[in-house]
Amino acid sequence: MHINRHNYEAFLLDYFEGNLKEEDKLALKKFLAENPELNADFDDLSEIKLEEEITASIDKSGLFKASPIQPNNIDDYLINDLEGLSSFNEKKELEDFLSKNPSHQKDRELYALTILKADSYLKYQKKKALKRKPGFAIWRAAAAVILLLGIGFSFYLLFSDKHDEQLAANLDNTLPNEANAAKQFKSKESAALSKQSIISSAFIKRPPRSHFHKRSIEIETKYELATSYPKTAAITLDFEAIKLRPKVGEIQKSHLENLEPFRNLAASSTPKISPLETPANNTELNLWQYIAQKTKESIFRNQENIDEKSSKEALAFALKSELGKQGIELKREQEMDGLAYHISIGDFEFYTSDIKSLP
Amino acid sequence: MTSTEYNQSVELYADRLYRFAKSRCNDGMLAEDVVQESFEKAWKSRDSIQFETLKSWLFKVANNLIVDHYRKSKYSTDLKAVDVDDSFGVANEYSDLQTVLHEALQKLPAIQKTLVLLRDYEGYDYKEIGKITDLNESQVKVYIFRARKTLKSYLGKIESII
Repeated sequence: MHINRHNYEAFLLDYFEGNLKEEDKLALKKFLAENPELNADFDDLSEIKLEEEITASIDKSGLFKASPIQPNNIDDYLINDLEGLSSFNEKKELEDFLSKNPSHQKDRELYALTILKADSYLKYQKKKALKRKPGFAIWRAAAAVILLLGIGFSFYLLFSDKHDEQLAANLDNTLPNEANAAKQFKSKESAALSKQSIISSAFIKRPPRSHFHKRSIEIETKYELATSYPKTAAITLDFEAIKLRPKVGEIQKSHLENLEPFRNLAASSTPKISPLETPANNTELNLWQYIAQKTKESIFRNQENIDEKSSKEALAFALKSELGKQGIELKREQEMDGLAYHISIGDFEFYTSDIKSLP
Repeated sequence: MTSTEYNQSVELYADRLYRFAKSRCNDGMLAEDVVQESFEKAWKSRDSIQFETLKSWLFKVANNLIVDHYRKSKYSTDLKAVDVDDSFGVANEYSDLQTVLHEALQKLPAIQKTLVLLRDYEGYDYKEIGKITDLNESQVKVYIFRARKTLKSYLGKIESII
C-alpha cells in the first residue's frame, strides 16, 4: 500500500506496536525522510507509553470465596465422593480441604469401610427345585387329573368299606355273642385304619397352601420331637415382666428382679449341657441362670441408653447376644396364630410359644 | 420370557436374591421362602416379564414380600433406639470388618437397610433403586446418606472401643 499524508498515522501506530512488515518499515522511513515536517508526529508517538502503577492496590478481602466444604458439611462431601457423585471441581475441593484438615482423613477412611460386600460363599441351595422343564404346565395338569382321580377312588374305597362293614355287621348278627364282639372290634379297627390311611394318602398329595404354612408344620413336628425327649421342657420367656424407667433417675434393681427369662425352667429339669464359657465364679449357676445373669448385667451397664420405649428391643438384643455367645440360636418363627420362637442348642430344638412381645 | 430364560435367571439371580433377602431380614429360613416365592411369581408372570428386566423385577418382588411379611407379623426390625455404644452386641469380639458391618446393618431402619443392600450388593444406581422400592431419587439419596453416616458412626465407635 502506498504511504501518503492521509494514511501515514496508521503506519506509524503499526510501527510502534510492532505490526509493520520490514518492507513497510522501509517505506515509512522513506516517506518520513521525504516529509521532514511530519517527524514531530513520529517523536510524539514514540514517547507515549503507560507505566504500570505498582503501588496501587485495593482491599481484596471482600472478593475471596470460602471453600464450600466446611467441617459441618464434610460428611456430605465425603459420602458424595464415596457414592461417585462428586464433580471434578468438588473432588479437587475435597482433596484441598483434606490436605488442609488431615484430621478428616480418618472420616474418609471410615466411610470407605461402610461398603457392604455380599458373602459370595453364601449360595441358595434349592435352585434345582426352582427350575422348570419346558412343558411343565402340561405335566402339572396331568398330575392334577391323576390326583383328582386318586381322591375320587379314595372316596369310593371309603364308602365301599362302610358298605362292607355294614354287610359284615348284618352277617355277624347270626353268630354267637363273644365271637360277634371280637369280629365287630376287628372290623371297626380295620375300617378305622383303612380310613386313616386313605385320608393320609389324600392329604399328603395336597400341596401346602403357602411356604410359610409349610414351615409352621415343620416347627410343630420339631416340637413333638422335642417334647418327647425326657430332659426337655417348655421354656417361657417373660419379657413383659421387665419395666425400665425413663432415662432420668436410677433404675431400681427390683425392677429387674422379675427378669428371669427361663423362670419356668426348674434347675432340676435343665438340660445337662455344659456351658461353653462359664467363668469360674459362676460355676454354681446353670447355663440358663448364667445367661439370664449376663443379660441383666448388660442391661444394667447400658441403662442410660435405654428408655421404656426401647427396653424390649434392648432386652431382646442383649439376650440374643448372650445366647449367641453360648452357641445358642434364638430364632423367631411365624406361626399360624402369631409369633413363636425356637431355641436350638446343638441337635436339640426348644419350642417357645408364649412370647408375644419380642421383636 | 421363555422357560430357558427363566431357568437361566435361577442360575444367575437366585444366589444374589438369597443374599439380599438374608441380609435384609437376618433370617435364613425366611430368605429361602422369599426367594422361592419370588421365582414362583416370576414363573407365573413369565408372559408379561422381559428377561432383560427380570433381575430388578425379582428384587422388587422380594422386597415387597419381606415388607408384607413384617407388616403381617407386626414385627419391626427397627432397633435404632438402641445405642451402639454399648456391650449388647458381640461386636467387640468380631475381628472381621464385614461381620461388624453387617451387625451394624441390622441396626438400620428397614428402608435404609434395603437401599444400602441394593446399592452395595447389586451396584444399582439411585434411579434403579427408586424403581425397585417405589421411591424417588432424592429420597433414595437421603436414605443412603443417613445409612452411611450411621454405619460410619458405628464403625468409629467400635474402633474406639478396640
